[in-house]
Amino acid sequence: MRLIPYVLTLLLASQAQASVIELTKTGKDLDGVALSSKAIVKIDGRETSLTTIGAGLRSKKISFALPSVKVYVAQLFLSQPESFVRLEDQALSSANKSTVFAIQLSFLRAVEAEKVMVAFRDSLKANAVDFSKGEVAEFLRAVEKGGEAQSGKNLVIVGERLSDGTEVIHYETTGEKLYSVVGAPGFMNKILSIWLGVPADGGLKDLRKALVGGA
Amino acid sequence: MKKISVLVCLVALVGCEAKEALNATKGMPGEMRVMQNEMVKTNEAVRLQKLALSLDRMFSDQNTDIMTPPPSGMLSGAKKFAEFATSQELIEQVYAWLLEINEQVPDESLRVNGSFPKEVVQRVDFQKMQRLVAIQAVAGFTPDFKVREIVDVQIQSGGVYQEAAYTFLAARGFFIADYLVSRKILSRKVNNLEKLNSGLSELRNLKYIFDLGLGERVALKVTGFLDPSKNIDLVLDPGIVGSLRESLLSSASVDMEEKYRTGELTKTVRALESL
Repeated sequence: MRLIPYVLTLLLASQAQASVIELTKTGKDLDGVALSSKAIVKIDGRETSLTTIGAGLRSKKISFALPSVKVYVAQLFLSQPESFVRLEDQALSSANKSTVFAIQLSFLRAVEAEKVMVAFRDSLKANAVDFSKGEVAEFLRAVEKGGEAQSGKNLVIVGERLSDGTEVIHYETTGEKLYSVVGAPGFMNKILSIWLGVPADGGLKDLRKALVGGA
Repeated sequence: MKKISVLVCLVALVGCEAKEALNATKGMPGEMRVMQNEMVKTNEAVRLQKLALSLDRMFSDQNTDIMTPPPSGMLSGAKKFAEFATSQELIEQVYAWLLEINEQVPDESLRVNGSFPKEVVQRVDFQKMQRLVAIQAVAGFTPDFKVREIVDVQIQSGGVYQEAAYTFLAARGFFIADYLVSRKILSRKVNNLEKLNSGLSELRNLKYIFDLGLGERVALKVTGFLDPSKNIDLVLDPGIVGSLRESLLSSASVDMEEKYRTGELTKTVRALESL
């Protein structure tokens, strides 16, 4: 049973030119990034409407005495927003009730692909997710292959639960390359834990609070 | 006969020169000492010049207009300063910077309606922040033997700069953890032995601070920022060694390239595990 998603992972981890998300802007902004109230995700002919749950700034401490560096503005969208519980300890499990999620990261500075991957990996580790094999490792490889996150551009991660129970993570780079990785049930939850699970550092803790609290 | 005369003359001449040379050597030890003293003076002058240059580099406008992340020009200046300064000079400089941070205030004439304008506060606090980052970087880059000298003279023997030495150790610990390990090594893949060994070496330096058993005296307390929200009171958490060690080991277990999975790697891993 576990072999099937893995084979699919290998088959679908390819790339193509695409733009997977269309946003409805609110007219407000956060650190110069336009905020959105809604999103439409378009992948492989499937179209899903999503509602904005929240937005927040990802900052990272570089050295204890210095102010944190602003890295990106994140916006979280869910297909079933009514199921979302705005409590930090229930946010992850309730977000997972949506069949589709999208998170857009608007980068405020350029970050090398390897650093993006390592930062995601640190978060997965904080959530006790085994990142060394299977679909999670494949996702991290896609992040690393995807190249530098460019300043002023958007990186989009979409999770889809398909009718057969498999879960797909689509990773669109700031250069609009799309990578898709298919995994077993629970894959979406693992990836969402990067932002809604146990925070790997103070910057992610603040971001989770902002995402859960709403824009 | 003519040949003999020439030979005698030659021998006499050579003899004279040899005598002069021998006489000349009588004064040599003294001259050598003078020369050696001059060389020492020159070397010291060169060292002081290098110190001055490294300080200039640390605080030059182009290296400090943006402080986050710490600018590379400032870091390289700090590294040189830590290399060329003696342990006494290092702690004196840290003490001086701490005084500037904690006690320097703008001229009273700059007050408007009783308080300092925002621009003045920003400018003064930015200069103080530069000093604070300089303390971290210099302390972090100080060679191990100089750190031990500072500990021996200022902490174990109760020196004049004892409080500054606690701050120096805390700043060093934070810089090693935040910058040298987390930012330089752990923010990338730990995919070769050199990176892992470098992490091991930094963690040993960090562990040395905790092994001194100074507890919460190793803290960084800064109270002099005009904007009080920037003030700092941080104790170095001993748990940081274990947490960074685990991060290094788990990253290496995934990232390490096959060609480095040798006996050398096993040795480094064992050394890390024993920390």
